[in-house]
Amino acid sequence: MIDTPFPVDLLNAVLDSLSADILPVIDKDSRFQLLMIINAIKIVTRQLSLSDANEKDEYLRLIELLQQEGTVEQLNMALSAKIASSSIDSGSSLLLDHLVKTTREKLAIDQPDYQSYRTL
Amino acid sequence: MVGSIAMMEIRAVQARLDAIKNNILPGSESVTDIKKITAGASKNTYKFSVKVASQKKTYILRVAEDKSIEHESTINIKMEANILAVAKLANVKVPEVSYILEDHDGLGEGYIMGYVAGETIPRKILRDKKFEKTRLLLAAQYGQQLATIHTIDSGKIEDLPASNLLQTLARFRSDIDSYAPSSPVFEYAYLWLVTNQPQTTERQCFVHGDFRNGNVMVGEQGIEAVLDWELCHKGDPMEDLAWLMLNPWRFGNVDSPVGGVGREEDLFNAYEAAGGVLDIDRVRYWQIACTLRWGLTCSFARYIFNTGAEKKLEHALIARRISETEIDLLRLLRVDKS
Repeated sequence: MIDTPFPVDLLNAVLDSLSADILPVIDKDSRFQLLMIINAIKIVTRQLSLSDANEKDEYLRLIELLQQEGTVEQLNMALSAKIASSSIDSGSSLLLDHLVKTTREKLAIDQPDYQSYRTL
Repeated sequence: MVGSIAMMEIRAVQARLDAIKNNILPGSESVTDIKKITAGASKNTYKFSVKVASQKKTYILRVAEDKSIEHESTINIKMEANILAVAKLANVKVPEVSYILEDHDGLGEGYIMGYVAGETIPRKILRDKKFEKTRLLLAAQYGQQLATIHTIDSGKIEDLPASNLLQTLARFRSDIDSYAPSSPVFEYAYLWLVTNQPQTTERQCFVHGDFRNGNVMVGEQGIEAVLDWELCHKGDPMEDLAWLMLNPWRFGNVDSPVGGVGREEDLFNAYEAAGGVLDIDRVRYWQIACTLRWGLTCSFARYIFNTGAEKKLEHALIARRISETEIDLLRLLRVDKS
């Protein structure tokens, strides 16, 4: 058994240290680079805690939509092909609901604060 | 690469600029204050001054660089210099090209232009107190500049790429197949674009292609220069208006659709007042097309990251903005109604 701390907790400690100890003293030219690094670690941290549940939900919805088996990637390619060839009803609420849910789940990992789309 | 200054030291660049100083400005005595500019994505850009009769004039040297994530660009650096010159003739605010490099100058391919002072960093333009009054002017100035850009004589630019709507859609198709083969949302948006093409006749003229917050040099009086012409082409002018209003260029100022600084009607009114012909339905259509285009640029960054030898953090983070473009598309298409 691998000892704790868990990966997420370790990464959160890294984030705390970068923000509290390094960010305030870093020179101006490197600041932007450090902010990118912090952003990337935050994405990984959220993905570690969210991705299993999210991908399982997406997977189950894809199976219901397509009535076929496969990996999440294969099923996404199959759904893309069906939309492209108009062999799935593009107005079906099952499809539209799936697109919105899946995108929201991805956004919860990539950019949970992103709200701007609500004004579009 | 022979003749490239990518690896050249500042001193060597200085010596070579010194050799052509009279081509840049007749009567020049010396080249001073040479400095590599690191702002933005441009790697091979230098700022320097030329001394003439106890006065100093400042210039920018731009030389060809490695391909950026702008995978659509086919504009080479010599064309870029020509475009700036033609744009200047049309009264667009652009830097003046002073000299186009020759092979024997030993600096690679590129050109020298007059330096324009100002700010390009969107967050500063959108937030700094010193631009408080400027921000009120920008939406109208954007409209005025775009109308002027759309009067540029595209016939004067040799090899200018052209793209009508059908060609743009064909490009989307091949980009989806190459860089985003498993995105049902992009596929959905693409299908919508194919089946909902505007009924009005497409006008074709010179289009900037990347006119937005970040690619415009701003001073306290407003626009000082329009930059970044690498994506210009002959196409539908409404594409430029739509691109400027894309969500990502608002940088959080979500209620100001025009680059995070202004209202749509200020942009549209100024565009029409300066002679532009507005077609709002086509602008709306292009807002969706441009969002997909930005999503595909993010997908291309992911492709570069996943397949390239060099793993750049910048590309990885752009890849993780794909979901942002997908939710924007779902919203614009009224699939997401929350």
